[in-house]
Amino acid sequence: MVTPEVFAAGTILVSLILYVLSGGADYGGGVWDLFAVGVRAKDQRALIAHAIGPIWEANHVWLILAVVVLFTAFPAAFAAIMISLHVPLVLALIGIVLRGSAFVFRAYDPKPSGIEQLWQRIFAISSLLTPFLLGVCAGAVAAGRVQPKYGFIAAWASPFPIAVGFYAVTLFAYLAAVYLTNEGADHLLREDFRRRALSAWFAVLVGGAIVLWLWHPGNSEGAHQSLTGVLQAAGEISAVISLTALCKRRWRLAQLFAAIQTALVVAGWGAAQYPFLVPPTFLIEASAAPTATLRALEVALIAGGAILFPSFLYLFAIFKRAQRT
Amino acid sequence: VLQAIVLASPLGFIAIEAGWIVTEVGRQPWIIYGLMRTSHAVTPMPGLVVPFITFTLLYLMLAIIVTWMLMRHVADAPIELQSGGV
Repeated sequence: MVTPEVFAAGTILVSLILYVLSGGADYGGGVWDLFAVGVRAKDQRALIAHAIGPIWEANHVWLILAVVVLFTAFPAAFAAIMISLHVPLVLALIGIVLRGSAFVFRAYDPKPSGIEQLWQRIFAISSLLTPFLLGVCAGAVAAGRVQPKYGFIAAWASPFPIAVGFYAVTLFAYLAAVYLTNEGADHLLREDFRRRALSAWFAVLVGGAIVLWLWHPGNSEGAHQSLTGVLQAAGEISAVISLTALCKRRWRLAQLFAAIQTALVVAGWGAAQYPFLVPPTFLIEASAAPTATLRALEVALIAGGAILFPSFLYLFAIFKRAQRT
Repeated sequence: VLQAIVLASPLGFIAIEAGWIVTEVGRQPWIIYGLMRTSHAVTPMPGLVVPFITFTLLYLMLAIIVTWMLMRHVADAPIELQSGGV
């Protein structure tokens, strides 16, 4: 039987996975906007903007859900994270605001203004910095640096969190490139993003190797080593399958396994931390809110999910159909 | 009469914002009425004036840009009406 505490923590993990798979790919799209080069640079940007389209704002629902469940179910852990990681979180928030505004300003201006270039730059650069900062925060939590003794800077300005930040950017860029091979009908654009996906795959490999190299298992005493190992192995197998599929131009298969690979990275992070929510201070069971709060949260989440999931399916169905016609 | 509608259109927003300010300011010095004081709830992070000024300037800038863009939309409207047909 899953306890309400574990249910709440699991909800945070699942919504982070969904955020990475949807919002993460949107950040990655922005990264490729920044690196759009060659004769088709303009077409690449158009395809990215089209793929991100009107859904990107909805994808932030998952980050909001994770934050809300965190402060409702684990208020002490929420407070500790918000204090230790104040600087990167505020910068990430500014990045999210600038990124969204610049994207909308660029898309909805009725006539040429001469500063589209500026919006595009702001959109692309904040697409790169925001996932880096969010990755830094995740790395700081995983490394057990969310503690008062590390202060406001040393909590996140250390090799492991920064390596996780870079890793997050490479992973999102990879995910976006693979998604984008499935977006366009244009053969040349598809090949452009295939090449980008292949180089990003190796960047993910290097990034992942650095993260594992800097990781000290001593930080995660009592971790579920076996489950973590299984998830990590499954992630590596998915990575190999998505690479092979990409080489053989099996676009849908590559997309499926790139998504599975990314989801397993986040799931593996959760498993490595279990039973801690924020190591080494906050255990999931011990730091949760009173049971009455958790029960109410559970009801709200199930009722909300019953509305949210069909709405999302409907939203995707509408826009994917609209894109085909 | 039509001009009165134009003049009345921002009133709803002003009412919402004013009501919000009244609840927030009126609750002070409590952040949760009767339970927790705002001074106890604030983060111990030093230099909070920096994000305060940053966010104020950021939203001020966004407000100016949005106003400018809305005015461009309005300036464009008659052309769209002609071609679109109402």
